[in-house]
Amino acid sequence: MNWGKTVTGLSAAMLVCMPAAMAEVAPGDVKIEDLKVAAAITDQAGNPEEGAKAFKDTKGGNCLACHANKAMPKDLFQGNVGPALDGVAGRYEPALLRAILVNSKAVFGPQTVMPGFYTLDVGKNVREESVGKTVLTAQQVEDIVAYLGTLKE
Amino acid sequence: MVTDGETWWNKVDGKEGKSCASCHNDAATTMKGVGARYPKWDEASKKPINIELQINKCRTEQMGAEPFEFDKGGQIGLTAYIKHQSLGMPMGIDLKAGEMQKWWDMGKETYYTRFGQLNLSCANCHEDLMGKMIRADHLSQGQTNGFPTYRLKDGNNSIHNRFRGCIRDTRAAQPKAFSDELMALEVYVAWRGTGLSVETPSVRQ
Repeated sequence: MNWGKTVTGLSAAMLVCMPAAMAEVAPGDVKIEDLKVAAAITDQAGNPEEGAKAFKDTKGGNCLACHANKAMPKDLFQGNVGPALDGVAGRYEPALLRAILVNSKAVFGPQTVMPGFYTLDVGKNVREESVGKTVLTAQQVEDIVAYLGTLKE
Repeated sequence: MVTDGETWWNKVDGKEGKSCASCHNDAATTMKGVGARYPKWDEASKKPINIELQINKCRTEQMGAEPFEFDKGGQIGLTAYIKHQSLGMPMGIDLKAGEMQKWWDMGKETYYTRFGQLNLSCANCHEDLMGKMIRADHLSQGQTNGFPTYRLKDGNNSIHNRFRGCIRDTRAAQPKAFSDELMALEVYVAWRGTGLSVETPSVRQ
């Protein structure tokens, strides 16, 4: 019998059906303090599997463009602009990873090349369809933070 | 690209019944060095002029022909053919002519300004990180000495098309080809290549 799974499945389906009820912190309201964003920016816990998808998606985080990741050996041509993320969970705690993802410039300083993925502090002349929008959603940020948490050496 | 340009060089077009060759004869002699010196100051328009716009000026003022639209007709081929006549010559534009220095300043400002949702300047990738890999792309020094160039993924490419492509990739609004902003950038980037040999037509990834 699979009652347990069915019930879990139903609960998950209900959650998916109620995105409006989900709370998330707006980009301008995320507080980066001591190089950290201490609390999650959505009330739905990050999903590492979704995070892995957003990590490699060229229209999502596209993290692989700049960061190598040995946990994704099937994805060829990983970039070397930023540091490799192998074992990053052992070096950086989630609150720091979240802050880097949200707005790396608040952590590394204004010179860093890394874009901010959940900030409206962006460059000049943003194309029309991206004005007022962030690269990732709050949930994708949490999902990627959760995925990075799995990268242990 | 270059042989296509040679065909256009000898092709009669427009009301005056002229080709490029009617006035300029053998490009190997008359166009030698041109590709290394452009963009240059154009006194008539009080702006810098590049090879593409000089071709259009000849077409409208001397040949009585329609100007080429951006990247259309013989624009890329003729530009490549003309620049190829300077193959191996060192790049060196004249910033003392007219107000070229002012345009160089404008171009430099653009080069170091961060654009778009991804918040990137030209310098971020092509100065600070040249040689690194961004996914399968090798970040170049962003030099213009090999343009127009053959890009493996999409064929013949003009300088302004590549400028626009790079700016698009920062998720910024794209300036028009030959706009003041991109002409200034061409002046500045050509200057950054001072001393490099003209390589047109080069091949890029």
